[in-house]
Amino acid sequence: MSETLLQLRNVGKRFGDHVVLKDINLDIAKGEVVCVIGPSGSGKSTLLRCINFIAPPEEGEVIFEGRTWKRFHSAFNFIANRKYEAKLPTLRAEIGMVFQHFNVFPHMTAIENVVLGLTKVRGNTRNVAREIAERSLRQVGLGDKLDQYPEKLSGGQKQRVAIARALALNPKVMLFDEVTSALDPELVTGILDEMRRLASDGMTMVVVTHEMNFAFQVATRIVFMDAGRIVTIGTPEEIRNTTEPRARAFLSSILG
Amino acid sequence: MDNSQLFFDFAPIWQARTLLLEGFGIAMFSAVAGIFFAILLGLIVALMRLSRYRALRAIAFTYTQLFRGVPLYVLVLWIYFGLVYAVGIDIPRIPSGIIALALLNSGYLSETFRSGILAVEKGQREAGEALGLRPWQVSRFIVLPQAGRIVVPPTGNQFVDAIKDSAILSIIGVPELMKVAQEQANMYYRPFEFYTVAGLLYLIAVIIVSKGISKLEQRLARFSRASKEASSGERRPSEVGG
Ligand SMILES: Nc1ncnc2c1ncn2[C@@H]1O[C@H](COP(=O)(O)OP(=O)(O)OP(=O)(O)O)[C@@H](O)[C@H]1O
Ligand SMILES: [Mg+2]
Repeated sequence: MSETLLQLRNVGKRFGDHVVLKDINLDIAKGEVVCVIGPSGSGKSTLLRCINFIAPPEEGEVIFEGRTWKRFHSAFNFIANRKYEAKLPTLRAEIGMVFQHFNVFPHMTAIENVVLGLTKVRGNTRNVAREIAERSLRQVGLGDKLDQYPEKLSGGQKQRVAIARALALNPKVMLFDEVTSALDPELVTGILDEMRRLASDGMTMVVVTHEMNFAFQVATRIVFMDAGRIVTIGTPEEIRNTTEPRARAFLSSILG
Repeated sequence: MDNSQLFFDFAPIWQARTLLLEGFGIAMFSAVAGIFFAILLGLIVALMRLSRYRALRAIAFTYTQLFRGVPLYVLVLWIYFGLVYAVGIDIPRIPSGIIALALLNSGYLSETFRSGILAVEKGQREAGEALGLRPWQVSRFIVLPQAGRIVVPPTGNQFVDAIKDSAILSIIGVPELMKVAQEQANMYYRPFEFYTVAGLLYLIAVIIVSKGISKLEQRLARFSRASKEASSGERRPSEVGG
């Protein structure tokens, strides 16, 4: 594989006393598609949210393109804390994220959803932003829905808006958190095809999913998590034939 | 002709029509100005209550408790008479009345706005942050516009209350509708007629405002189904840092 884009080093996350992630180490190379699987509550979503510091890890660090990001720890050093927080948006701007429940902005039309980041984060003028947004929405098949409010869109279309919104900023890596789980079954394939297209375009992706067919076909590596830890990592072939008992149990339960 | 012989006589109303309408105008102006400043103050206090800083939260909480807990009657007298005697701040009648209305209503509205902001799904803030927007941008472009739609009906109710409450400003001599009605009622010995008309004018204003608010609500409803649609998943409240 080519050069490393993203590294997690000893990442740990707690909510109060509840340890949700423990000692997570993961290197992701440019162009990789890493699928994350595991039982409910194992910490998959939290892992993604640590990468862009939506849920900042208390321990460890995230290294993105050689730059180290870690939560600043002083309760008293007000200025240092604010400085660290003020820089987070520049990290997040390079990382696209798509959510299970879409989280499109309901008070904005499809194109406005996409334009917002282009103007406010990337600093494009409105005209340029609209052009990029339109192209981005066309790419996900929403060329005829530019001026629709999300309320008028199906779940699949909303998720496409969310994907276009993230892709328009030209991120270096995309995070997907069970993006098909809230969709009606007939809409799932369309979104998965969209992700396949992205993967074959060379986008680096971290994908939390229960769609095992997708994971086995598209992933360069699969991460199996349980109880806040990475239990095993391997190529689809290796995971399919794993002898690790928890991973085996999980796979047989999900594959039937 | 001796009018005092008639059981009802609305002729004096017609004679006092200009005064009554002026009074009505001043009542409406006080209510509108009061609510306007109440919205500004209420928003600031709501954001302070959601701030990460304990001191700001404490100040805002005290503010809310104070102005929700004091009767308007007391507040009006306190501002108009109390401040002059205590600290020599002499505020004219109408501004005193507007300040009292603004403070009282801002106490209620800050609570309304706070819960409106918290009613915006947490995922909205997260999606904004994930794009790389700064926290204030997330508040400004994503959370507050949605909260604004949620708080239109309760804010409208507050406005209606302010219109009715403006009658209390008569105690400090603001020449608003109630004050005029009182004076004219005494002059013509026709309290029933004058207070009936005053009541009707308030009623008309309230009906018009309520209609306007529900029109606005319907228009906004087109875009505000977000909270319903989110019921398919978990709904966590959003926070606005400040
Ligand atoms: N904001 C939070 N506050 C407290 N606990 C949380 C929070 N978010 C997640 N958790 C807890 O962290 C653990 C891991 O949650 P996470 O959502 O990462 O699991 P997951 O693997 O994504 O599960 P699922 O497959 O159900 O989405 C769970 O026990 C959850 O209850
Ligand atoms: Mg999850």
